[in-house]
Amino acid sequence: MAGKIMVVDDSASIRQLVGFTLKNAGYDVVEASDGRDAVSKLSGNRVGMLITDLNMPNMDGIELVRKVRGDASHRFIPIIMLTTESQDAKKQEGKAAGATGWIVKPFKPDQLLAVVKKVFG
Amino acid sequence: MRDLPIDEWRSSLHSLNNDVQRLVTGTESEFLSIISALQKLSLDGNELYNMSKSASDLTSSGTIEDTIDGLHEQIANLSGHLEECGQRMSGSMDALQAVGEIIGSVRGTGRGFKRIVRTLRVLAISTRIESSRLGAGAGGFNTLANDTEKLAGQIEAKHSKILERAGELNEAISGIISNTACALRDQRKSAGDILAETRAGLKDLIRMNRNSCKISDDIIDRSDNLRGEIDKIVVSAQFHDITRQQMEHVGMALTDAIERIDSFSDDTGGDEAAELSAWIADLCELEASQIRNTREHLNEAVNGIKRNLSDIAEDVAVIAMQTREIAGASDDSGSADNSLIARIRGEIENVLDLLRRNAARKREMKESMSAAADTVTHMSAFIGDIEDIGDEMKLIAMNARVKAAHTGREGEALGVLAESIQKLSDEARSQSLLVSEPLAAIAGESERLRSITEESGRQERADEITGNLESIVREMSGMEKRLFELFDRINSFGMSTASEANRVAGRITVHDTVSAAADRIIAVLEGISSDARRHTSDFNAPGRDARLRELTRRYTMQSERRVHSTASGAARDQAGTGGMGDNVELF
Repeated sequence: MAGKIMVVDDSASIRQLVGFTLKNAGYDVVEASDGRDAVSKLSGNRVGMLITDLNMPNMDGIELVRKVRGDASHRFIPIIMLTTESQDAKKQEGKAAGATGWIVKPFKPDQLLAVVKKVFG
Repeated sequence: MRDLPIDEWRSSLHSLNNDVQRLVTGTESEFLSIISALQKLSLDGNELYNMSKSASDLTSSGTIEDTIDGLHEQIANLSGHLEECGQRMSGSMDALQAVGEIIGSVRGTGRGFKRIVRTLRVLAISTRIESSRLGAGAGGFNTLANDTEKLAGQIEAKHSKILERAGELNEAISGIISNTACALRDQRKSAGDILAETRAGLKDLIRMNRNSCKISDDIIDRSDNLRGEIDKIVVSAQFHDITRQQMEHVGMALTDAIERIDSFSDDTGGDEAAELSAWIADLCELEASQIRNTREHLNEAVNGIKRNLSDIAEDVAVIAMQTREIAGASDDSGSADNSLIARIRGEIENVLDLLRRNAARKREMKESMSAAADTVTHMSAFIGDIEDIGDEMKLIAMNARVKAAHTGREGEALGVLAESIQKLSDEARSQSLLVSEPLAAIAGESERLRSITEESGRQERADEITGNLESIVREMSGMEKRLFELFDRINSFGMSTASEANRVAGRITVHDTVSAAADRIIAVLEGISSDARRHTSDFNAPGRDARLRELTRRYTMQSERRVHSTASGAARDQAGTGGMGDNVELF
């Protein structure tokens, strides 16, 4: 197994599409439906990378990034924002919160895997 | 501005907002069903690729090359072996014909022996007559007459046996010659035909091997295409989420409009009413453009998914068909019985039959030659018996001469008879030689034949070739069994996967549902916009730019901003990203 990646998105279809792409490449995938669900599931999982949406109910992606960076056990894991949001200001906000990178939807499977390989291996 | 249709706008916008919310939530289950089908198609595509690759590997790998080399070697061995067998058979034919001629000379000795027998019988009669004439004093001569008569009978019986055996031998040799000639003709023809067909089969096998490599490459290309189609569907399916968010943004705009209308009161001044109308007109026009854009992108994405699914169905069907072509099975009924491997196996079976027939013939020839040699041995024993009879005749003759001498002058006639018997014994020996010499020659030829037959009857080489060919047939049968099991699986799997892909494509209606709903919403928005615009026809809209800028705040997507810029005539946002694609940025 190449490693475990958590996919956080309030859209079930996006979680399935990202999960499908990652699983086909040999990664283990954990799904969470929003930031709060992700924080809860992170404590029980040895997750090596996080791919998260930005706009979600309960806890959004930026807040999730801040929480993860504040958690000693996941402080250094790569976090990629996968969102329809393309405004530079939002990107800068994500970068400031500690995101590793930003992908604007729709993603191409090869492209997503290239990013994952580069930041996670 | 008391005549603004505020209530009508509010009601329409409420209704539109509900429609938009339904669009946001109503399409997810169909997209999830598409994604679920996609996951299965992807797994099936991988499985199909692996099965096709296994089939291709089976026919293009070292296995088939080893089989071809092995068959080449065995066919060369077989060819050499059959050539040797043919030469030995020709040698046997020559020897057999020589034996036949010698037997003819043995059968020609009958007259000499008959004359000896006849003379002995005459001598026996003469001895009895002479003995009677002499009366009681010549009693011992009757015994001589009886012995002579007995010897005549023995020679006659032995010679008759020799002739009888010679006849049998002649018949046996003729039979062997005829069978050998027939076997030789059959072997040459069968071997020629079978070897030619097997060599042709080998050429086909080599062609198939080359073709399978090419088809294997095609399958890999097509499987790559299939993966590419699946990747495209992954991209297109994300438009569900993108559409959902865009419609949410439209919903937010409509909620803002309703709130603003709600805050409007009859006491509000005319400028504010005009400004509200202008704002409603701009907003409805912009949101109609956003929905139009969303509808077009969703249509494009869903039609792309349907097209990609149809392409997947075609790819899968072609992979299944190409895999069958690998074994050369597609030209006929596609069944295992008509495959090239089955044909080659059939040809090898023919070769094995030829070898088995050859072995059976050798066994028959060996038995026939053994029986002929036994006959010659028996005949030689009879010759020995005749020689013994000759020796006995000599003794009888000597005894007769002694008795004749004792009898005195009256026994002189008997002395003459004894002398004749003595002469006949020499003649019998000479006649025996006439038979024994050819028989010795036959025995010699027979030994040579026995040796040739023994040599050609040695099955080691034929057994080795048979064993090797049987092993190749077993290997090919095993390969064919595995191949056709794979074909059956690929065929049924490919057909069901293609059918599933077409079924999924045929059942997708989400774009039609969304388009119809979007068209209705756009029509109402354009109606409100047009109506609102009528109330602002002479209004200069001093705050329009600020209003439009305010509207862009809720847009999160580049495409939304682009639509906004186009619809409102504002300068385009030129956001750009680099790195691993325009939409990727690593910090």
